[in-house]
Amino acid sequence: MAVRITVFLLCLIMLYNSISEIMRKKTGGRIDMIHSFYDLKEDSVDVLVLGSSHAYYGFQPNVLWEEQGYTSYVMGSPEQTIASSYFLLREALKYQRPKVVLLESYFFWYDGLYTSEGRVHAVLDGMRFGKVKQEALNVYRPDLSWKEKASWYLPFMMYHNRWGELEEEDFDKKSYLKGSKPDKKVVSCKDQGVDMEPVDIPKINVEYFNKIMELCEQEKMQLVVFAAPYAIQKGERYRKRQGVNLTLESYLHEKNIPFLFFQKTGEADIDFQNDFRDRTHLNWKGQKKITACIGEFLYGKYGLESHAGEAEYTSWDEDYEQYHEEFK
Amino acid sequence: MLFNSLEFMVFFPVVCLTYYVIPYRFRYLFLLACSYFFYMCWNPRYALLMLTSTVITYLSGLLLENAEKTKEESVRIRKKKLFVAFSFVINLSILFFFKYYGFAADTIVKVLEAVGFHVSIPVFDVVLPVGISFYTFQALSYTVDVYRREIYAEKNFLKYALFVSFFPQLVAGPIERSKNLLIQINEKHKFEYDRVRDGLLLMLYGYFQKVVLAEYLAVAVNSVFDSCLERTGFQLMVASVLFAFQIYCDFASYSNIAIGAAKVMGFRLMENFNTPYFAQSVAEFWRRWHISLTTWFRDYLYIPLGGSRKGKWKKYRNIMIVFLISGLWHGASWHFVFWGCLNGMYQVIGECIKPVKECIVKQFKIRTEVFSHKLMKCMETFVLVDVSWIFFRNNFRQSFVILERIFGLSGEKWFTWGNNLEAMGLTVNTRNVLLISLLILFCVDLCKYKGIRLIEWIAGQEIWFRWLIYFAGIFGVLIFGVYGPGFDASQFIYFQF
Repeated sequence: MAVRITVFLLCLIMLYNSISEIMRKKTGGRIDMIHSFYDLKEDSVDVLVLGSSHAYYGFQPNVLWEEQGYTSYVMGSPEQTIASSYFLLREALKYQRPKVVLLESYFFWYDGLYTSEGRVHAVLDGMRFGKVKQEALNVYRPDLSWKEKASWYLPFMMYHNRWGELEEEDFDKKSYLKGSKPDKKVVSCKDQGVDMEPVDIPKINVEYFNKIMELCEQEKMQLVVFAAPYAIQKGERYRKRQGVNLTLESYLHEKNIPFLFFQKTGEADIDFQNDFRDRTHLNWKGQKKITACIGEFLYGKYGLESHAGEAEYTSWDEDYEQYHEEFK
Repeated sequence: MLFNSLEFMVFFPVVCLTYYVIPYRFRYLFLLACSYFFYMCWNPRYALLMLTSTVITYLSGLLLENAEKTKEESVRIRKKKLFVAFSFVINLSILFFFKYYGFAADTIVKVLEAVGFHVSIPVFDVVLPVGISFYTFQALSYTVDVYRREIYAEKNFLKYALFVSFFPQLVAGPIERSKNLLIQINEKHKFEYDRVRDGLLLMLYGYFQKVVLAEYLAVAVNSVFDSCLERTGFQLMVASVLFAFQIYCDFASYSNIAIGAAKVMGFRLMENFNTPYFAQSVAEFWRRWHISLTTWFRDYLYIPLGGSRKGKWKKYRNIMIVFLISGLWHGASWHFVFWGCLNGMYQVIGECIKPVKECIVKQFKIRTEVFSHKLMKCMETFVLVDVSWIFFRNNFRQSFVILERIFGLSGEKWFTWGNNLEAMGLTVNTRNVLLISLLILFCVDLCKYKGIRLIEWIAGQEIWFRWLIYFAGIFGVLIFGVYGPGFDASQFIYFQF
């Protein structure tokens, strides 16, 4: 009897997890950035990329693999704040030991822990239950009762009513994109440069960035910050955001952390007429250029070694082929 | 704590596991503590009211048993009647104050105003204690049972307190009898796999009725009835039919969860619903609907009033009294009273025209044993009951508007082409789930009606088939159920009574 009950409960939990995943994925979309991370083989990632949409539209792991033979993953989420990047880094370290942590800087401008509850869901719903998830939720939403928290820990409670919205795509995972989002759209933009007054970095971001720095130091990982180029139509809004990058540049210089400020250096040779999918995000061509540039920067540094041709990494070649098939 | 709340999902397994682990002698104390905790989750202060009812009826039991020792019969009877009155007056006064005071005061003021007197009666803003009608009736049945010497008075106050407050059936029944439940408190319940499984299956079916069926039905019913003036007769008719199923699923679900939960812990509660919509007469409907309440009224009101033993007219009077009080029991409002009276009238008229009907059957040689005849009677009963449900769900004004439109007397269009589904707050998906769920409900009820014990049948199948059913049930409820954030766990309809 005890065996029967145990087997029944195990089957129940397994089924629950599978169904819960199908329902939840609707939020993650086909890329499902946070949760697909768990599909990676443990200790197999060289470069971990963190950040908002600027990170997952701006970085392509398949390009880095093809050009340098380094493995990478984008643990991005829409409007990911620096605080969220910190918690995601901690979660990632439970499974991976990257040599480089690459942080996209766009959300340094935002003064807050999170922009909206939906964005917190984007960070936490794909995350496995554990200490980091609990701690993050306590920081984001200290006001929640245990009952309200339960629906965060068991996303099924929130997503079960999505049964009517399921599409074929929900069952078709595109994990070969490794958290990135290449887009074929083309929107013509204008480069507004970086000739402006520096703007202060909000305290909360300094606080969480320092935590990221400490963690990287402690775990002996090299922290690199990069700023993907963008163009926002309204000048004032653009200046306020890009101005933060100028302050960040001096701050990182002080801390001796490399900062790849593409809009300022023009290194990636971004074509503002053809390399954007909208006014804020790069398309697949821009993404490829930025990644190639980052690859060149990383080449031979921080103990990174190419895995090209290694038997254990053949799946990366296959994934690249899939990517290449779609984006030529 | 609602049965479909997260709190109960934690509370119930913890209670069950602990119940089976602790020694027998402590179990009733543990259940008593859990039952009071369960009740106090709503309003801790109102537990005092339940305690008062418990103390009064407990004392009445002791006093009644003590009175039996009085040798002189007339004194003994007088004493016993006094103690019964003592229990009834106090309990019904509490019930009256919390449930009917506002209604009575309002009615008196209106009546006096109608005849030219202006009076003001103090109004108390009190919240109706959850389940007060249920536990009061349950406690009162104990007083009468001891009075009738059908049971001995319980000496252990805490055991008696558990009988009144037993959490599975505390707030919405079944209204148990001391003859059945009180003696079970002394039983030693072992963990029996088959019994626990059956209880859990019954609970699962109850959850299906509540979170899938009743909740989806509520969406359609509320969207139509809440704007009845803008609705066509067709939409109102569909909503009325759906409401009949909503209230059935809502109430039967609570009873099934209660009976199942009690069964998991080894307690046998009485059946409360027995395929009511298969009834072929209104009287039969009431033998199948809310059985614990109907039999309560039969045993403690109808029979003491004389039942059907004192002639036809007194029988009709008694039926009307019972249904008038049943209406009041369901809610302190005139539309409930009317609903009760309507059901009483159906039965009285049914009795009156019985000879006419029999004559027609004889003259036209109608075959009463065939399926088509039974189906017609079943549908006739459903229509009558459903018309009464309109008065149960809505106030007088709305009810008459709804009936006027359903029967095409309003002059408005009875049916319009267009998206009737969307107008009822449903999507194609939710409609499909609803139709499949209603089909399941029909099949389960049909099996029960035909005497097929479905749970036993499932238990007799191969393991793969059993588990398939269990998993389909669990995930069917989890996926298609209406619950979770953004959903305010809607109260079971019967909680207000």
